[in-house]
Amino acid sequence: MHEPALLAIAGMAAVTYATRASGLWVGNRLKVTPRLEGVLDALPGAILVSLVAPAVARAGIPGLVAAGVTALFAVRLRGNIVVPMIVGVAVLLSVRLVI
Amino acid sequence: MAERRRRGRQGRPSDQPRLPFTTQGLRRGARLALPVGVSTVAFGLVFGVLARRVGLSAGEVCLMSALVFTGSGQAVAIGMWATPIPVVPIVATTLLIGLRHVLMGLTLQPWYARLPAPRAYACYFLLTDESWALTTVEFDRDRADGGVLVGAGAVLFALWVSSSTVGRVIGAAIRDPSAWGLEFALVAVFIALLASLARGRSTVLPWALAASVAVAAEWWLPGAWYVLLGALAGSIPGLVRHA
Repeated sequence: MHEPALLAIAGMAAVTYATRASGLWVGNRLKVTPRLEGVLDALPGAILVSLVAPAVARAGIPGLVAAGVTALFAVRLRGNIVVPMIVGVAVLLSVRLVI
Repeated sequence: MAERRRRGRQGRPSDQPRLPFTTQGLRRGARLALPVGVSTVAFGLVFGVLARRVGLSAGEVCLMSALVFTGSGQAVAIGMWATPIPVVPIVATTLLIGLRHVLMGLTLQPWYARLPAPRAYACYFLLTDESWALTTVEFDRDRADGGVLVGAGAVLFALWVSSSTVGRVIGAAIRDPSAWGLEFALVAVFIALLASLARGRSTVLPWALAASVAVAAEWWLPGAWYVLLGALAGSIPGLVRHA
């Protein structure tokens, strides 16, 4: 191991933990108004959508089809994550083979 | 969840009942993380291979995975790795990619504020996209147990550290997981978790906004702004709803 690499790793570790901890730190000091409450309630779904949507778009038509079928299974089997995961990957691969 | 959060915010956190933190919670988190772990292992192996190509030793890969523990940030850092190592740009980019964790940590704060601070801050080391998403859905179902985040995070941590190190050691023998569609496994899990958070029509507009802004930002903006911008766009309708 050499020094610049260790320095980079240490810096990455510090900033990453800082981003994790600061959500808790900020939340503990935040004065929550009813308006902010509405924003905070909407936040979890909005974060998850923002993680998923670009990944689906990047996967093109197979991605869109697989996402649609996965969503159907997920709504039917509310709470199950294993079946939608397998279905999603299977549909993606099948559509890729076809087109 | 909204009701629970409102209750949690009345008075000081220390006046609220403690957040349960049980062995069952730890086990439940670990079990929930196993299917997600498939994509963690696939991604970890590929990360290890890429890290080998840019000249990281197995020890450096292991150390980075254990201390930094963030797939997307580490992958981008490896893409920037060169001789001499551009330390400041790498750290700055890692910070930018990690900013979404601030929002994630904020959404779990009403629960973790009800643990002793040192323990809460320790739990947050294991906050990743995956452990956060699984915990969020558990809390949304009124099964609040601080152990879920830790159980899920610990399993993903072990899988990430070991798979990235193995990838570094065995190198080019690993095939690209996109040939198996594995990069979509995590996307499918997140879609399944979204189905649990859906609240009928009231979620259509915020989620459509979040999706459009995130896709547009990922397309046109350099860097990793898309999660932040999409998340903020999707929560703005909340301002109006509660006004």
